[in-house]
Amino acid sequence: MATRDEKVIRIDLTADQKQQLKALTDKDAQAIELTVRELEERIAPGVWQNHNETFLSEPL
Amino acid sequence: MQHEQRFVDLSRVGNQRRLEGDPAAAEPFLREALDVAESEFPNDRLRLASALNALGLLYKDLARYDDARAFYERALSVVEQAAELDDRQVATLYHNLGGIEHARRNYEAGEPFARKGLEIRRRLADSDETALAVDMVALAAILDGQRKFDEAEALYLDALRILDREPATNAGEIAVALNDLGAHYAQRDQIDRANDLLTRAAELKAQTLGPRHPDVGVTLNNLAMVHKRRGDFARATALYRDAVDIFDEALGPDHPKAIACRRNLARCAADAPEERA
Repeated sequence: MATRDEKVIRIDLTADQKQQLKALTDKDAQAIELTVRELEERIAPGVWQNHNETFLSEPL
Repeated sequence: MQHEQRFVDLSRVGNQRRLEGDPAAAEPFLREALDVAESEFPNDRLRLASALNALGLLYKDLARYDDARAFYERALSVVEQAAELDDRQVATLYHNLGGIEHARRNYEAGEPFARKGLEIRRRLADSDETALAVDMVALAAILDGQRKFDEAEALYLDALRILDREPATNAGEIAVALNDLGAHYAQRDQIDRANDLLTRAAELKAQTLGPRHPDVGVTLNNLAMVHKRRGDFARATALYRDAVDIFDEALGPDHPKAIACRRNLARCAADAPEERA
């Protein structure tokens, strides 16, 4: 059985998105499929990637 | 199935606590998630790497940099031994290894990691644009630390162009990029630009993370320094005090950010002109 993270989510494309995809890849697609993990990475990359936030300090 | 659900629930709660700015509360959940992954799914390398990466991120937030680096390196070794190499995970781990050196202000050591992560991400056929922009900002911050300002500025501006395509979804990442670009201009003595960007970053962070999140404290600290440079010592002092309170509350008074911010506050007080009677 697939784990939750491996479960595939199907997202149907709008007409505009289908056209954009066709223009970029020359492929006809009705939908894209992502695993839950892939979807989370797209929604919240901060879950997996750290942030290098600049913290200004006075010289010692 | 029971173990799978347990792993997912522990990871979710742990990651959520960390993202809320409470890494100490996240630790037991993420530790247990790793225990479950190691005992129940020893051959599931991607899951194991994910649990190790989560602990690396956590220990970076807790300023336990040696521990964080060890977890990232273990995760990288696990991923590289997997039957199917997941380049997205490899790119993320190099990005995160660069982050440890950034946090240590060891920028020269961090640059090769950050460049490698970005290079791998750029090559991915299904590259996630937001993740790519986050890589660019991370490398730019490392370049700023070495005063390689021109390349850093170009990376920030490219990243913001990407992130701004979906401003609502990317609000948190935009706030980080604005903080770093604001700090970049402060270092180049472009104080008005710095002030505008840092003010926007502070507002956006407060909206997306809540006003007491330690990442808000980082931007308030930077904004305080900009006000000090403008000669507004009263405003700078108030902002530094807010930032110190946030760090003390969220991370504890011994965390390097709390210590550095308190030092900035003391320096601001020492440099302020004496009030005339």
